[in-house]
Amino acid sequence: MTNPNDPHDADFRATLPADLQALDRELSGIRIEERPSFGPELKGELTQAWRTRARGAPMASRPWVRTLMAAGLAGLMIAGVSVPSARAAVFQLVRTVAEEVFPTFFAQDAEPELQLPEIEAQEPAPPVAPRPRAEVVVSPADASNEVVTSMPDLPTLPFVETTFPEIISRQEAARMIASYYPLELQEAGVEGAIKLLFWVDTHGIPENIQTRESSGNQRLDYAAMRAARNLRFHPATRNGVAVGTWVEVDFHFFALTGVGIIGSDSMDSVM
Amino acid sequence: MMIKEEVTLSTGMRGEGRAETELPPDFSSWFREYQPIVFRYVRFRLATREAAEDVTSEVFMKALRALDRYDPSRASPKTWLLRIARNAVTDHLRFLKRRSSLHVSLDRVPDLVADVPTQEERVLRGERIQLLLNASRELRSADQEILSLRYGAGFGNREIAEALNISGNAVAVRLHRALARLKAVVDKRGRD
Repeated sequence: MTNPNDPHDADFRATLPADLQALDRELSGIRIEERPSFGPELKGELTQAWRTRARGAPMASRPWVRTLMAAGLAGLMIAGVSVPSARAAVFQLVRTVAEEVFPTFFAQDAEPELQLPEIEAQEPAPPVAPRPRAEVVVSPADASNEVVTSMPDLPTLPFVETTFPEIISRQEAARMIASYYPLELQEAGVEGAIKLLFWVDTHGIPENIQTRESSGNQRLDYAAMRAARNLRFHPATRNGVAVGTWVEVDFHFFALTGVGIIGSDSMDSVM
Repeated sequence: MMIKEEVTLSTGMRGEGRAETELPPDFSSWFREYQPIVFRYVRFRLATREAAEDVTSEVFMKALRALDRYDPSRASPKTWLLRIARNAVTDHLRFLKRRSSLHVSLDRVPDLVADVPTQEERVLRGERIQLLLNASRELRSADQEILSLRYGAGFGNREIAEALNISGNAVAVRLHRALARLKAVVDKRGRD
């Protein structure tokens, strides 16, 4: 491992007594084998950290900006109410906001909203902007065509048989994930749950892994991300043909048992 | 607007708009060149591969966060990264001292004996490496550090001198003493 071209090394080794030369050679013979995927995994984590930093905190998350925006909106509302021609528009706006905040008050005159299962692309699509969970997550039950056939005015969609990605072996996966739980965090009793979002390709291999909900501990999050790369799935299928899909998976790390497991009932597919 | 931002990020991952979302080019080349060196240095000083991976990750995360403050006139990137690594290892060991043993058990060294051909030789070599590494952990921190730079990171004396900011002669003297002390510990353990 030492540099044979370094003149200091040649001089140095020659100055050692024979027994220390032997020890020097023995220590130099130790080969350190790095896990092949460690470098790429770490680079992925660094890239994600850099990307997050490059994006920076959105302006709206800064308290003084929020205060300013709230004051501006209040000012506009007061001005709007005081002008007769704009009053109706302001009341309409207030009603719209109230409907969003207290939907049960307005439920009786609201029309049923049509929900159609989204059709996923073959290639990984960019994750959609955060929306209410019910709109984004299509559970297996929601994915049936019952919703569609209950709307008589719409053309009947052809029946699509869909399966969702399944982890090939949950036991093995749990063991593998446990091996990524940092020992010192276990010893320190640091536990946590992380929700990850990633694309499972047609071969069942995770790609484009992103943190959906952090555990609050960066090292636990990274442990989960590293473990996720090594998960293997039966891919999702559509009419028997393997397709890629986004999935959300919860990872739980429990310090008492030292075992990191996947919540068995918490894997959702986002298609 | 939100969706547009997401799309930009996504295409960045596919190779377009890379400048905004990929690592800075300098850092990327440092990572490629020095990550294995940092890992070997850290692994030589720590008992398990998992701990070495964690600390190596921490080193590069810290380096990335401190990238703006890096001054090339004061140290080469390699020296700078090794300095961060040394501090990270010191912090980690300080933490472990409060928590648990630092000793290497035999099942923790298979990644250190990969070059030995037969199973029997691997076992014997594993035992010997276990002895050497555990013995090295009885040395004082400065000895452990210089041995890790030479036999872990694979530095020559000149590079060690640069990393520790001491003269080449001082490196030779310190290495000589560290090896002598290591041998004394190994011999004592062999007799026990």
